[in-house]
Amino acid sequence: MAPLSRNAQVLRYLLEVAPGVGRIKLVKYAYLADCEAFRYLGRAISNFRYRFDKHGPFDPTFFDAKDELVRGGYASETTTKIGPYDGYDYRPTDQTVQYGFSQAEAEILRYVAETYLSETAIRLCEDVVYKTPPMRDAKVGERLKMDKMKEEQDPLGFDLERLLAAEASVDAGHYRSVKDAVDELRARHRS
Amino acid sequence: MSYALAIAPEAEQDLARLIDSLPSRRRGRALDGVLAELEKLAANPKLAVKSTLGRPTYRVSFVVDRVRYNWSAIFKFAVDERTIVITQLYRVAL
Repeated sequence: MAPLSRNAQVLRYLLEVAPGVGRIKLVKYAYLADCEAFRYLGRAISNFRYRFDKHGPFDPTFFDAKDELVRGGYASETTTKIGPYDGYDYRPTDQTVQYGFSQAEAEILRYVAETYLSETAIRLCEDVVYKTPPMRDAKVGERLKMDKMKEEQDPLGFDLERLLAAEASVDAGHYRSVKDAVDELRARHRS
Repeated sequence: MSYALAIAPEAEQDLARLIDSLPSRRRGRALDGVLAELEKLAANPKLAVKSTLGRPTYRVSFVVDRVRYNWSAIFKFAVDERTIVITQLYRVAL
């Protein structure tokens, strides 16, 4: 079987963390993960190209990625009723997926889905999505400028990949007292 | 309860790079300032906020020669649950 496209992998990963979400939240999760990835890694995770659609950031190729998951048996799609409207609910199936994400990318996807899981789609849009820098000054129909998320890279600034490496060191028991480390630095600067 | 204070090797390198970026006459006092701030955190980890992808993050702010430095420390609790381990120290853009 052909490997899943990058965008389908993103959606499926998000569904594993947040099973049962609908289309609007799923697209917004992907968008927010790409925003965070731009901020921390300087690039997106997915290949979606977002425009300011009537429901916020959207790329019509979302449907291709979603269909790829459903047709391939990687996710189920169930019709639901949300008031007078038809909605859809997506869940991952048991079919395994070989993800091509770096640890940092997977961390961002997990963080976004976990953080916003309890938000309703409307609150997610109003409180979070519409306040992201690419959405702030955008007009309906415009392509979103995701690089507005990029902060000027400071060589002494936050580095997600280094953080994950440090956390792995801690889990492996590799650390020492701050005082010892500071004393060593002090001695180095004295000499 | 005060926690023991530890640092991961990667964060030690962060600290060394941050200190090296300062004028040499300020380095010793900057180390004092960082240590004092981290001790405050160890005494009360609730001072940290959950930011930076959900990690507890603490603002390390100190003054040397009338210049205020704003750095941040990210940490996690060690398996013994009595030690705070600094996993990253970085300069904060203001």
